Amino acid sequence: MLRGLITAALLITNALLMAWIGWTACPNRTEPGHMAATVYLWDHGQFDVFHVNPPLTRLVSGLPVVLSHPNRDWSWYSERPRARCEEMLGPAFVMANSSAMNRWCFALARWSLIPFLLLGGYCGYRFSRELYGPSAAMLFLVVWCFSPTMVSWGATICPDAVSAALGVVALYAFHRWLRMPSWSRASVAGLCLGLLPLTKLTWIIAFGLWPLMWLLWQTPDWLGKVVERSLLRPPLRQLAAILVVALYVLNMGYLFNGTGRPLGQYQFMSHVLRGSELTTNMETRSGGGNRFAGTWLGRIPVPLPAEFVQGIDTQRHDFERTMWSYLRGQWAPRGWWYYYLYALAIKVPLGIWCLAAMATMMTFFGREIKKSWRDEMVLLLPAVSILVLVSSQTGFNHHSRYVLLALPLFFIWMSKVGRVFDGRREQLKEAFQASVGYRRRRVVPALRLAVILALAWLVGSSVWTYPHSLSYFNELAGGPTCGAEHLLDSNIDWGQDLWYLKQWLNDHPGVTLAGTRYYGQYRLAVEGLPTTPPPAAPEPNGETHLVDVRETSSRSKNGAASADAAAAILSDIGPKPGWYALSVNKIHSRNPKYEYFQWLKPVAMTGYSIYVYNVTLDDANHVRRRLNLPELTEESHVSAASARSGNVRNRPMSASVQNENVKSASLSLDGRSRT
Amino acid sequence: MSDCEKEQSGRDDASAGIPLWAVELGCWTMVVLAPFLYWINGPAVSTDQLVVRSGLVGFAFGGGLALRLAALARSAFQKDECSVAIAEVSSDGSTGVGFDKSEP
Repeated sequence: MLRGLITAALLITNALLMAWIGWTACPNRTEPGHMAATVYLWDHGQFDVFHVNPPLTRLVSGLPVVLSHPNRDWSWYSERPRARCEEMLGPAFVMANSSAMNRWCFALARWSLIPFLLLGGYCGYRFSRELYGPSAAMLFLVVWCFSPTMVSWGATICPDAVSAALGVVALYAFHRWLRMPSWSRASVAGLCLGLLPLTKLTWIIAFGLWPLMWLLWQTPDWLGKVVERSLLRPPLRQLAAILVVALYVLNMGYLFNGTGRPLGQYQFMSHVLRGSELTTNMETRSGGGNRFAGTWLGRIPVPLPAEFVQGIDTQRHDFERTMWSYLRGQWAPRGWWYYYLYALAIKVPLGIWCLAAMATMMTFFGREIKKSWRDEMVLLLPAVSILVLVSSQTGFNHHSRYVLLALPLFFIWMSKVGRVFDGRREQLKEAFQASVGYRRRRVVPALRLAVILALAWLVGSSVWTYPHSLSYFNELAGGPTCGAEHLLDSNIDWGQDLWYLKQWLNDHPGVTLAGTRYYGQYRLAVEGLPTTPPPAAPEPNGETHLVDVRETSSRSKNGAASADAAAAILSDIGPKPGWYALSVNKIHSRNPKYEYFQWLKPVAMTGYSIYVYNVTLDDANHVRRRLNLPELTEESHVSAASARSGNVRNRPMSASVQNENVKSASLSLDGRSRT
Repeated sequence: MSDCEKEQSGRDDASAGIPLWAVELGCWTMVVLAPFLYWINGPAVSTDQLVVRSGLVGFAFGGGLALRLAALARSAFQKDECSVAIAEVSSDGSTGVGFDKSEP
């Protein structure tokens, strides 16, 4: 009874944590696109918008949104399969609605997905309980409910967390079937397996993993000392039924659109599917090819929905295109195989790492208390496969959330350390002593203590950064304030803190932003925030600005107006006094336009992803000296502002002084460009 | 450890899924961790976060304190019960629980 109450309390806490973020966090960079795709799917019944993400979460989250009757703007819709028109439809949806309507629609959509997370948490709890006992199950639930990654992504309409939760559900159902095969359990396992790829394309590997796990489950236990005679052998025909049911459910999720289309009739973009030949389809104005066209393989009907296949192709194409990636302060034209391992090392709370270390120790040394390798194989094989799969895609590395699917499976596996709380102490002590091989009286109490400390550390560290859990970095990385030194993009700044910036501005009515640079697809104008960008630093080669300055100066050497204009150009370059708000991704961007903000100290942070700066004249000149730019004076700053506004005749500074400034600036910029 | 206490300890172990001492330890650990977490993460970056942090520390401190007081009260109560039981057994002429001289 008490255990049930605690389980319910933990799940309710989990739901509340996600619900609050769902209400307060601004739509992140991809959420407007998801929202547009969601509404478009409900309006038109088509799956082509944002087709790299399967439709299950859209179907669920779209219902409350459509019932709220938001405005739509489909003018940016494109029929071209790889136009990725969600990039335009998302902002258009945001612009078509008021701030309040946007907030309401996104909150409803996010909340509608929370039951999936609760289901995943509950099934993980049951899974852990059946494998390792009641205390282990409770430990899993604590880790699940307070994992910052699960909480932050569970509060969005991005399908990652939902997919991870359904992964737990599907594996639990499959494991139950493996242990006690029956037709009813097989049908449930098939249904759950079919839902998996409807949340994320990565789960297509489940169609290979499930039969592989079945095969391994059949393997005789050659290495084990005790032959598991009571082990039931799940029949092959039931496995076949699972796969057939799953395939049917997958196709049903797409309303059987394009199911059975011959492989040769697709237009692929990825090199692996189109081959080396690239043709242009004049009808759809899209390039593509098909390495299977004209071969016997091309005549084979594909038992998958067409948009699902196209989505895989587009995703593959994205990974084949090398994109600049960021890791530990370095930009590289492609990713790293160890990116996700590194991200896990610093994004997962150290308390969880301690539990993982203890679980590893119990696996290797606790022979008498560990579970059958078959049970653990069901957990670890999919988790490791996902980790290996995403790590092998090194075309670009931007998002550690790609390994989110594997996390809950590791959580269940490591929950085995909770067994130190089950049973009588003496029994456990004997088991440990028999396993470890030496007698240590204190081994069980010490393990219990370590587990409690690790859990407290996990909960404390995670809640400490809440509700900005998306930017969570553990203490090893220096916390979220040092996160950008390690990772960027959705690991720290996905545009989620814009509403906190608005709140901060409301709380500080005396502050007027002179410039804003926001990383996201949500529109500043919808919230009444200024859209003027902050002044950019000169480009590293300095060519553009130099040409402007020289041209302006040479037109009329003695003309006051031209000198003023040239001075205005120079004073437009680089830091200027004023209040600015910038996203972390913009400050650390590969384009060094706003890199100089790294030399300034923010006066406030709204969340961990938007920094607010109050640049004084001294600050500006300090940075300008470092950039070899002419310093600003009160007068020149005012005159530059006047020149920009066309009021050049009223400036207080003489033309000769300005010309001197122009010359020195040109020299300085030349010098900088050479270095 | 008296028989009474051993019996109690055995009951604790049998229902050791979520022992109260573990919850109390967790609470105090959280209180001790708070300054370290503040040092690492810096001040709160939003009002929401300030409320959550304050709530966490307050909840942990209050919970730890309440559990400690409850444990002390329970311990005192058990000692009283044990001493009463021993006194009763002594007045009957026996030496303790399960070791009655009158039994063969």
